[in-house]
Amino acid sequence: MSAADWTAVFRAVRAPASRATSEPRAVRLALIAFALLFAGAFLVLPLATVFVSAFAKGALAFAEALREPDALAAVKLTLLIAAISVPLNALFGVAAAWAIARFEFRGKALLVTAIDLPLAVSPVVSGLIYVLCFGAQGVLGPWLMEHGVRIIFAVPGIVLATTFVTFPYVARELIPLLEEQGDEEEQAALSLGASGWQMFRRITLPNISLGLLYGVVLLNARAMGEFGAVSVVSGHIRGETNTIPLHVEVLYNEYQGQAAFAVASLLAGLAVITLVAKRLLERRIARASAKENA
Amino acid sequence: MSIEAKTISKRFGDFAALDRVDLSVKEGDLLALLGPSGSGKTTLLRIIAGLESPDEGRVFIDGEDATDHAVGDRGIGFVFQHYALFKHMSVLENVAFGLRVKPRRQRLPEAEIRKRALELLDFVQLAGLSERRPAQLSGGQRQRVALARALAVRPRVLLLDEPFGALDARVRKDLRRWLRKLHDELHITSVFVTHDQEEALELADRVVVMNRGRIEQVGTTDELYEHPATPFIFDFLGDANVLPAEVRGRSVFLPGAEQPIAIDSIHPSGAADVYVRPGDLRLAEAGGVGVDVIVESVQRTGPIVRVAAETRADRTTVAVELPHLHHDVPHFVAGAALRLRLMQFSVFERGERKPAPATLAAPVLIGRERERADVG
Repeated sequence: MSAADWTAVFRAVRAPASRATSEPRAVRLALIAFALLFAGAFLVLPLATVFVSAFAKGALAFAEALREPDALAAVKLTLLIAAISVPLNALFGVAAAWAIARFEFRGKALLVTAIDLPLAVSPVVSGLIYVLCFGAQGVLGPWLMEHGVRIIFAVPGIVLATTFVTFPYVARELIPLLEEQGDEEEQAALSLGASGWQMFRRITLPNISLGLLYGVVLLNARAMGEFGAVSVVSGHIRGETNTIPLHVEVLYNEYQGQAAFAVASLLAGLAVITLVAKRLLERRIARASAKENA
Repeated sequence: MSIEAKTISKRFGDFAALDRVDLSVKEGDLLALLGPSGSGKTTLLRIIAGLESPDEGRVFIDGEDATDHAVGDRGIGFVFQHYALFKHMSVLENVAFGLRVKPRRQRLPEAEIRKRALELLDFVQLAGLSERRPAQLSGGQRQRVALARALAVRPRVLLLDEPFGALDARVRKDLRRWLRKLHDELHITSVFVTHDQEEALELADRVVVMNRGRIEQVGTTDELYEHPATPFIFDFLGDANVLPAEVRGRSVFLPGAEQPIAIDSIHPSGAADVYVRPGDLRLAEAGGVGVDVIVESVQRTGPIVRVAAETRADRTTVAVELPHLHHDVPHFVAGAALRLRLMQFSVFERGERKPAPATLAAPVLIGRERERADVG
């Protein structure tokens, strides 16, 4: 919470906008105190613990834990997975959102529902789906093995599982945005002789850029942090198929608490950056729409 | 360039937006598509533009079948109701857009594009605002940017959807005059859609009145006002009193009238409705041609005196508008028994819904000279 937010809280406690429509002071104080305590105990405290434990044996041990080859391999793999599934899902999200917001077609309701599937299903199931499809005992497994293609317990499997889990983020962000903006500007561009691509590149994309970025930030956080689905398909091969979250678990299970927290602090740092980016984007989006309505 | 739309039909689900509509616009014409909402006027405009495709029928622009041409290839400029300006671009970039998206071979050099966009902004009197964003402009200024943007690609035809719909009354009037002037300078074939009859009548050379997906009548302001083809048009172009009557030969019998009113065209005999505007009625002391009425209320609003009266014979309420200088006005008080005189009216067959042949509407003038003397 920023200083300005705190000031706002105190001001709200001291001087309600109107006596007639506000709760008694005691109720207000109790509610605010409860919310802050709850957030402190369940959100701030654990996050702080991650950083404190990470540095429990000093900065040197912290750096050591991150420099260790298996940790480095996990970081590289996580970045690689994100580098593949984020653009893939951003592309899919834009395409799906456009199709849904702009066109009427059979099966549209089904597509809208299908996009939400990864949010509704447990990540473990998402992982199992791919094991059942591409695993040694799976439907396509034997054929894949014959041709020497490894998907399960290898990087392709992790990419698939991550992409599946992070499927909805961009599309869900863009569908309401595109619907709200309508297609008049796009029609205007076409009437002025723009091609379909020029229309998309010069009109649609700039209009959805903030929303797209917002979706990508959330998508990236989930892609890097995904544990359940990835855990099922990865096979936990140290230095090969362990992502950061999986590596944290391995370290923790081996009673290397400080090292586990040091690596975990990377994810916690990502979370903080994501939240800040999210907040900044929300502010810019609000300002942009306020300007439009002025 | 001329526009020809032939037997255009368009359905949205169960709703027939357009039902075999024919429209032709002469080169250099400024034509209004006038009608209530849901009459199909915007759909017709969008079909001409290519933003919508007809279920049936063909569109010809300059004699060439353009039905299958994409909107960008029809040589039209379209001005959207809510302007649809590109909000992330400056005013100048908005105007230059059509020039910038041209294929490389046809594209003008950068300096030329800038020059032409600035010239257009000058032309629409927005010279100093080229670097502003659309959000920083007033409604009237946005409208002119939209117009400049459409004109930048040198369209053969200009199509405007409710061009003044979102503006307040004053700006609307100024812009209307300005658009008329612009059309007189450019002579570009233009079609605009409006639900405002005053706007259509003031601005357009010819007005197409639409209702329920069909064209009811096409004509100049005078033709529509003096010879409305259907009760709908009479009603739509202003306030209307409807008096039940009977037609026999060249005479109209109003209930309670001592003598019939002569009309100059032949109607089928039988039940009919007489349509008359409040301003085309006069009240006088008893005597002369007309219907006996009792005054119900008198309301003075500036230069016009509004009188509500009831016919004695069948208690039909009639609204009358008189100039306040009318010498008899002081005598018109609630309860007064007076005679209602019809200066100009139209007769339609009772229950008529289909467009009637023009001869059915027969406005006649009675005693106009004498009326002038009265007023003076």
